[in-house]
Amino acid sequence: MKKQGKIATFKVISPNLKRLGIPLLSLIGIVFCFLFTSKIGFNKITEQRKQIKDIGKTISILQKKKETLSVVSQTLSDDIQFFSLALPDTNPALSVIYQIKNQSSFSGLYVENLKGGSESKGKTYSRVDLNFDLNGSLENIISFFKVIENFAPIVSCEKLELNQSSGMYRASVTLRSYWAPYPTKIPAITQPLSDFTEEELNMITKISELTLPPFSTIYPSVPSERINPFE
Amino acid sequence: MPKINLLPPDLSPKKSLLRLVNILTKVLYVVVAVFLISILTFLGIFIIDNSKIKTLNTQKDILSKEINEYQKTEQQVILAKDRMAKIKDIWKLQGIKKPLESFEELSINLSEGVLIKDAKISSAKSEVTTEAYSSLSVSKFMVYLVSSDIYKTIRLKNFSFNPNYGFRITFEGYVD
Repeated sequence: MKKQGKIATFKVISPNLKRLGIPLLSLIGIVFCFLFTSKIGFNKITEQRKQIKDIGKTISILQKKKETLSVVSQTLSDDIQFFSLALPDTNPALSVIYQIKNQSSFSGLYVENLKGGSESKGKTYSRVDLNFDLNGSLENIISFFKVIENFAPIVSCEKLELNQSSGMYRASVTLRSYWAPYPTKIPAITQPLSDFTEEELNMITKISELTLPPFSTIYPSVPSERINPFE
Repeated sequence: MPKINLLPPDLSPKKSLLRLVNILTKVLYVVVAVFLISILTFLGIFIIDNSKIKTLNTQKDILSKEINEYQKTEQQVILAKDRMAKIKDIWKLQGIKKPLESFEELSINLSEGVLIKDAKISSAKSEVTTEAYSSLSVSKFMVYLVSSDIYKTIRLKNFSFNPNYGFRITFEGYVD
């Protein structure tokens, strides 16, 4: 009944409308499809172009990074232990004490009352103060302070009190030494890596020339033959 | 057999309508053609871009692998840069470096007969006590202290005389 009603309605439509309706509806349909497909197509292409641009950027970063690393691998020596000896990741008081004793004996000075202060932990680096007395001539005491500027771990002199009695000088010194934790994360591979600046290269030279504590490199002992005690 | 139109003339479509239908049909063909061409174009661009992405991704992977071979160097660079940045900050602090340099200059250029009795050196100021046996040495020392640029500000704290040790001069020197 319903189908017959529909046919009847179609028959009622005038032939003019019937003639016009088919191409008109097809045209509307095609235009609609065209708009729909264009939108999807444009979106997809835009997305792909963005992807190409992003990958291109990453590739240029990687290429630069590779070039930088290949240049740096030639300039930076394999052994960069001096950086971690200049600024270690743990309290360097023992190394500093060793350096003080070593350098003072070289400078003809006598050290006494060597005491370590309490640690002071900071955000970027921590520090510890070391107090000691030096006995000797004024020239030797002054030359000692010049020497300690160039030893590792790096220290800074915070306080000096000099006293002269019967031709000899006694200096009460406060030296501050520092340490800082090592970086724990390597940046993502796509992160750019800048080459060393002129200032940094000068710093590398300066740090590498610091007097390192002699026990900085521990070599494994060579296995030796076991002697039979019963023979 | 001859074609005879038995339909009443009011049932046949109007001529103007037929022309419109004709035009619409032609437009329809054009739109269909444009639609097909655009689909093909989209497909073409999509395929080309896709292959481009694949090539770029391969290039990226190769570069990543090559960079991974430099991992040790990268670690060294990161460690070096980290240490240098922190050392630079520490070196900026200086402690008593400047006052110590001034004190060294003073001690080297001490006039004859003058000796440093004691000194308290901090980053803020240097308090130095000197002893001189003769007034000539005192005047020479004072002339030198004032004329040299060792200290920007000098504040005399004590000037005394004792037959046992001679003249005793205590002053505060400010480097900055």
